[in-house]
Amino acid sequence: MSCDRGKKRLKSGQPLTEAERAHVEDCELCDALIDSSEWLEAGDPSGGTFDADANFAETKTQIGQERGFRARLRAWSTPRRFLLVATLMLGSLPAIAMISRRPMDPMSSMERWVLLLTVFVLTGLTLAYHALRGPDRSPRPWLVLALMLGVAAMIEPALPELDSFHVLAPQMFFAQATKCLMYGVINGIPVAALVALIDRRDRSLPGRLWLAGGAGAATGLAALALHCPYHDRSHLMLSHVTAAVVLTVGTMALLGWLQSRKRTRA
Amino acid sequence: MGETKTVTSFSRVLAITVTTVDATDEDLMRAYCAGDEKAFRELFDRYAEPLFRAVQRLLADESAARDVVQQAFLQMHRARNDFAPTRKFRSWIYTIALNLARDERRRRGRRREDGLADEPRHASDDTPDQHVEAVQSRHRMAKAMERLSREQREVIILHWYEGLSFPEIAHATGAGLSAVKVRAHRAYKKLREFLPPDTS
Repeated sequence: MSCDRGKKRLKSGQPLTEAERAHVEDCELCDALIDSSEWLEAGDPSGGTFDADANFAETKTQIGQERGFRARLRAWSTPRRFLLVATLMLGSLPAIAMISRRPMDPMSSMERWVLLLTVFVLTGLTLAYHALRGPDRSPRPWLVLALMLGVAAMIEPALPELDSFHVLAPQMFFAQATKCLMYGVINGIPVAALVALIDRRDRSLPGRLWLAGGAGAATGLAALALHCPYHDRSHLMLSHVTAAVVLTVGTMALLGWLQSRKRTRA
Repeated sequence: MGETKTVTSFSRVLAITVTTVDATDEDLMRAYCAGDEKAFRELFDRYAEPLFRAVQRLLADESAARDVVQQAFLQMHRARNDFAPTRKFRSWIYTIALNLARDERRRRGRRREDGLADEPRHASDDTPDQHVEAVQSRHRMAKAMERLSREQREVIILHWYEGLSFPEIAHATGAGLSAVKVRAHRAYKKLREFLPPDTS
């Protein structure tokens, strides 16, 4: 005898069997349920009418509009979509390393480099995975994910500053910061755009909208770790961390604007 | 190569022929994934109205509930390749609707927290007194439900009104089975405390 069977019998108005009565006497849950059952029936808050045919027709119209490249990508399974993002993210980094890797110098620490890249890549993949999980999966608390991105963005400035082989001349400070900021943003955009493109939700809450930008931000940080030879903390804050913020907030604002525009048109 | 093609076509034919009233939800979902449109209609007929009632109980808004049902089936269509044959379709579609309803609730903030549906039901054979009594019962219940946490409210709606079993609720809400049972116990107990001694 289970609580569910007892509930079914109670709802159908049938008397409880001997075994069910014995269960109810011992089960606090069933006891509480029986106590409130009369009220639950009398106070059912549902009402209104549901026109199944009209609702079906509208749903089919919406499904009928699911055509084209984006719809085909969105219909891919979640592991396959995630693999697509991971391929772009992990594929872009060796390309960056080959094309514009920073000059290695005697002061560079390989361990530090590996640590940073690992944190950035893991953060990017985690955020992308959570952005791609559809509403058929229970959402994870966004605060934990935001904290993860925050740690990734702040890890490099938080590490002990190394004696830099490449000294940043004061007159070049802002010019170099702008260059790095642009570099980080540009390298993060493809991942952010791909995640936003294959996200299945049409109306996301702000708590989820930043995830695509966050995945892009982590990619941008990884690209900067490969490219930028400066360890100066103020440079890192002004360009690397700012690039991550710009990507996250910018993507969130852009997607929010696109969603509200779509809603207004509808 | 040719053999694989034959097997694929055969399974497709098999999948398409399961569109009957007796087919299980999972068979219908498999048939829909194989391209059977009738299977979608059958699933819609089975679940659209129960989902509408459940979401309406959660949101207390008829038009929002209708919209969530549409969105739920659209999301079901998009996520069709994620449906695991080992999973129960019922808890899967409830998970989608529940998550969309939660989003909708957050989006609207606390604009409508009275928990009352738009249109009070009025059975044609009700006397005016019975109607007033029914409205009062619903109002009291809505107030009591409002005092429960979101999780507790969801469990009561899915368990009592929608008839989902505890394992199904655990799947739909993403919580553990024992956590769902504890929530249900506390929710029913609290509800009883918040309501007057009897319904009359």
